[in-house]
Amino acid sequence: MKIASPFSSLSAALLPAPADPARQGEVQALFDEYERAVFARINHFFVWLFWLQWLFAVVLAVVWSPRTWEGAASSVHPHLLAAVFLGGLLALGPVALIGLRPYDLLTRHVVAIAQVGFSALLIDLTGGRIETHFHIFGSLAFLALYRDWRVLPTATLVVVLDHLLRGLWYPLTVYGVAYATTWRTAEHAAWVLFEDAILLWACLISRREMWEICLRHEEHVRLLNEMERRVAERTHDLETANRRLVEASREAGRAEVATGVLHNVGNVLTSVNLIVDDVRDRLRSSRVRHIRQVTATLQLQGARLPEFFQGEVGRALPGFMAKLGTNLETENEYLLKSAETLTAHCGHLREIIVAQQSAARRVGMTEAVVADVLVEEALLLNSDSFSRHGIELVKTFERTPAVRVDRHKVMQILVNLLKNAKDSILSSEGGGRKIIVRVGAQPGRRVAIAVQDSGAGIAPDNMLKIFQHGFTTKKDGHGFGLHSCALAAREMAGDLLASSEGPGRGATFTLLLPAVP
Amino acid sequence: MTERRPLAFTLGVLLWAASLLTAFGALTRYGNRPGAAGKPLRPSEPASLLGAYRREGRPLLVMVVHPRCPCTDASLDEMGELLARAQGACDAVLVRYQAAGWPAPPRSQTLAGRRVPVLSDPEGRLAVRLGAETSGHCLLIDAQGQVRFEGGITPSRGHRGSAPGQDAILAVLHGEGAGVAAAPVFGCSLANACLRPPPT
Repeated sequence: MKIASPFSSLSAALLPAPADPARQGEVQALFDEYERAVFARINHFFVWLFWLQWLFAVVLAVVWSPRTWEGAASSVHPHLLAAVFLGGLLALGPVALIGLRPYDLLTRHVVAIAQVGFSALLIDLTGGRIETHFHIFGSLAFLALYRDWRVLPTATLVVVLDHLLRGLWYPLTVYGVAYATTWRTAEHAAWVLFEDAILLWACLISRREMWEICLRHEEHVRLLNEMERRVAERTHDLETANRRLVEASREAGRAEVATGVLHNVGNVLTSVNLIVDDVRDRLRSSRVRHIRQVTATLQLQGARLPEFFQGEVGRALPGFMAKLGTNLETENEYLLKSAETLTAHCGHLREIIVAQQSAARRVGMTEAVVADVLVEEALLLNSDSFSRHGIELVKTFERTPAVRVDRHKVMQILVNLLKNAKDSILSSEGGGRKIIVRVGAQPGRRVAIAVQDSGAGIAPDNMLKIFQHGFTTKKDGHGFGLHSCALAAREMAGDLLASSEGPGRGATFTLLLPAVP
Repeated sequence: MTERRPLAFTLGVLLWAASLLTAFGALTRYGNRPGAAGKPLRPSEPASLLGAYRREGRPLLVMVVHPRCPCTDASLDEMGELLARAQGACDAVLVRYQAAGWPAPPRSQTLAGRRVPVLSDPEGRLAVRLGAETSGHCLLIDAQGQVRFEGGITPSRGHRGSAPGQDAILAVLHGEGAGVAAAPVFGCSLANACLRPPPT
């Protein structure tokens, strides 16, 4: 519960209001926090000051007035007792309160009373030295460090009451005369009030500055929050854009695979069409109709068939039939071979479609597979293309542990790498047409699948941006493929590396995949 | 910001303040409690006892001190101040209490630039004859050998500062007033009252 102080409103009235009245609460909260920090710091200071003053009082009494005498006999001097017990009371009271209620106004008032109490004790212990009276002015300055002017009247009141009461009952100790007027008290108090006025002004100025700092701090915090909100919005936008980009890259990757599949299927279908056309042409030009002509000719002879065979045509007929039989036999062999070829092409088509379906079914799923199997499936999708372009394929498979991967992603990467290798070879003016595919174990429980080509190679300048989104050296490329492959590799806790000895010297792309633990 | 203050806390603070007030009251009462003031056996006795230190036509300021009393420093400082303000209008002598076994005092002590002779007083026997039972007790013997002031010249125990005793002494030295002035003495007891000879 908040206790309203009559002085609080005075302090508050001197503080500038924030431009936006709605911010008053936030500024007040910051100010309260700041003020508590100041109170805590000065409390800490006073705790040490009280211990030191107590120690000083005891040392002073021990050195200055350790014992009181009656002739040759002595006993402990009351000053020493006062230094120990009264000094202890002065120190322990505020120190305990600082520990119990550090931010209570009453605690600060007690600190003020104790501090000027130490002034009185030290003045007494030093025999009323005028120099010790300066302790009062120092104490007021120390109390002003709280920046809470309310403690100054408390300290001043104690000093004035001390002088007033001593002046009434023991004027000698205060004024050095047996009969003192209240004007003397007023004169002494006036000098204290003189310092009070300065310190009070300093306190109010300091509080105003604290308030202004809080105003600015609140403004900064508000701006910072606004900036953070904007950054969060922008970050969210960027994340969304990035997700879309990744998705677009994946789509592009899938498109690459689909393109590869369709390309290979198309190639096979072209061969099938050629064979079918050829078979049709053969069948159209087949000499099987000659059998029907021979048969019709023989049927026309009827009863004259023996004479027919005696004639010129009849004697030539067996030779003709023998040639026809040979031709039909050749034709039959050709058609049979074509049928076998068509069956083989259909089987190839089926394998391509099954491989693609197998990869597509496992999208988003990870499974433990042997890398060789994945490589073989990827090669299957490209083998026809390789053989058609006269590209020599060399496979070097070591025994490797299984890898835990998303089969579809690996297929996407490998098809992309093999297609790039083929394109690079085709775009190269060099003579060698060779792709080497290696599978081997790597340190750190990884399996490497390297696709090395004898193609155009990569320029050093391009090496750093080879995986960047949108970067491509192909005329009809869109720069999604390798970027998408690199993302896919990292999503599987793997990596994709590129190396090349330079333009015209081929390139090697290595896919690193995590082995099953 | 401020929470409700527990009553025990406020009561504790009040108790602490009351303890403080009591302790300071006791300390103040102690500081302002004058010591015992004796009387010379005979008004003319101080002059005769200290005849060796008197010069004709000059007053003599005598202070009896206990060398180990903490208030003695303040008393000596005030005596030096008084001699300075008197501007050589009187001579001075210190009667120093001397217990058995204590080191012998110096022959003189410098106060405000003046060398003041020191008279050792074993067990305070001389002091009691001078009428001094408390350290810091002063006597002013005028040129005629009459005691014109007796008492202390500090405002309280061990405290420096102007005191009525100083003003009274200066008034006598300036030829003002008549009779014997007095002021309270603040200092340790010389515990020599038992040595006072019975009145004859």
